[in-house]
Amino acid sequence: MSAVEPLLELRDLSRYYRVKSKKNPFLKQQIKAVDRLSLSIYPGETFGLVGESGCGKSTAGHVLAGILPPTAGEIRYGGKSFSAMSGREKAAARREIQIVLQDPSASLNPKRKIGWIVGEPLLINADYSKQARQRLVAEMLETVGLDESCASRYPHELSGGQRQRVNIAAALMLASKLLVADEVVSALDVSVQSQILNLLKKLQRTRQLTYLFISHDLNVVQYMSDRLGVMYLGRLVEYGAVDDIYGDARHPYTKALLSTMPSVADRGVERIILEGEVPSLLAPPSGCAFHTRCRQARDLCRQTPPEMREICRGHYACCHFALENKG
Amino acid sequence: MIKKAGRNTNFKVGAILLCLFLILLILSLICTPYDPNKMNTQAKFQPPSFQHLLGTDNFGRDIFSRVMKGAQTVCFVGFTSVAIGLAAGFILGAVSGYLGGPADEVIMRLMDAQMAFPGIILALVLITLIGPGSVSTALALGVTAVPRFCRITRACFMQIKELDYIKAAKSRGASVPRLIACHILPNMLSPLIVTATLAFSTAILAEAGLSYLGLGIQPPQPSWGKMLFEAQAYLLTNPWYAFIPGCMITLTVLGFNLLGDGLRDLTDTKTL
Repeated sequence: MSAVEPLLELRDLSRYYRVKSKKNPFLKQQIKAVDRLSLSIYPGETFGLVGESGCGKSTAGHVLAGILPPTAGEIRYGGKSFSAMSGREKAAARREIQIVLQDPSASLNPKRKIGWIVGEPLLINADYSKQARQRLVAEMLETVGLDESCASRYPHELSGGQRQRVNIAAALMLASKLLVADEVVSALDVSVQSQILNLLKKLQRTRQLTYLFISHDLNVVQYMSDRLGVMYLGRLVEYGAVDDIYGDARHPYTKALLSTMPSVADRGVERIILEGEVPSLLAPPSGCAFHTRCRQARDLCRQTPPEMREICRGHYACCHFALENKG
Repeated sequence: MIKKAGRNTNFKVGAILLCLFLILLILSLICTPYDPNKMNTQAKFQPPSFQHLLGTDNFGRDIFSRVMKGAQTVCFVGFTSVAIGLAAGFILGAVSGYLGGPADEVIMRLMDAQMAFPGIILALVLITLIGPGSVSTALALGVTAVPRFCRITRACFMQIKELDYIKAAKSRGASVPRLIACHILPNMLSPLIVTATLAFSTAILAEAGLSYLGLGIQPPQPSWGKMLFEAQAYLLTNPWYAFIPGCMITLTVLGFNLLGDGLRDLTDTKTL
């Protein structure tokens, strides 16, 4: 895999929010929603991003899709940095990176018909006649498994699963290559979830898509992803191939997450219950951000932030004891 | 939508009253029974008869003709002031709600400052500055309506711009004007229409008030407020003179208010 150029590279990507302090309205505080996130996504793969709510995984997706500007860091797409691109190249790259958002009903404009919504990306970015646009919309609706007649309906007339299909259709309209799937199935019920996941898999095969698959559902991520990154408090704590991580997690946070995974067979794995709350992003802990809830925390963890260490080829963990934490 | 409108009493009554108002207005544009400004000292204070449907006033002018002509004034002042208030308020509110931050602070404090004055006082000051007449009345009432539209626009923008479909459109490359015109505006149309209808009735009342005080519409141009003022002196001897313009103001304002309430009920729900 290393011979292939990554489609997307993030280098120290950060997104900070400034919020007013509760005590002093004139003081602004910084929230590091995404803090120096670095990762590479290769063409045709699915990179899963997991973590509990508030860990910055959605923010990272939004920055990638151009909804939010990054505070710092670099996004390289197709080997070229966004900051080095001309306006036209940037617009082209933006077209190829599309996002499907979490809530299928909130991400469709309630006053517009489905056909208009799916065709809007073409209306903005390309110059088609009305007939050509309608034809492309009809084809796309069929691709995502919707009836052509949906085009003349309003979003509230569709079910949740159908709406998510519409969102996928709109995102694919510009022949996008990288799809950021931001919790695409978490608002759907289980039977519909599997339909949408299989649709995404099918589209990936037929259209050579690359996915950044953001989710908090570990089963879903395992099913979908080739590689996986685990986020905690805005930082990546561990990443690697899915089998490596599910089989041999090295970061205590990943271990705790995986131990809570419900499964049909009793795997005889001890549940690791994390104590305490997620620390506030306003005042992140010193040293390793996870030390406040980590069983293995020692003085070293409280003082020195750990570095990313390579466990085996392509498997990295950000823990002082990553090499010792076997099994 | 049409079915629901039929069941909504507010909307129905309001629409009927406004239809009557519109018929009167259109007729007045075609012709009036008499020249509304023609005096006839021989026929002062005539009670309603077949010759003068609503009687005549202290100068012998036909009240029905004057009421009809007055509808034009009401309409001009109402529409112009709502248009001014809506345009300025929408732009300020859109900037305020979309950008937020310092621009929002400055605009909202300005609006607060304006709202600290009662509307009619502010309009009086403006008219004193630019001189009376129907155009300046419309202008002054338009300015007093700005904060109302500004606030409602700002609130809608702040709420809608955070929604997922705006984010989705952004990621698909939609420009800011496009976001506003195609995504935000259609979703805030109903509160805007309701506010505009209610602002219209406020403007009618304020115009009547200003004309009553002698600062709005200038004689001999007929205005319902002015007619009310003139009729005041003859209230005991010729009560119908005061009764007629009073009724017209009440019914028109009532019509707009009911229509506004009805529209709010009709457009408030998700089901179209």
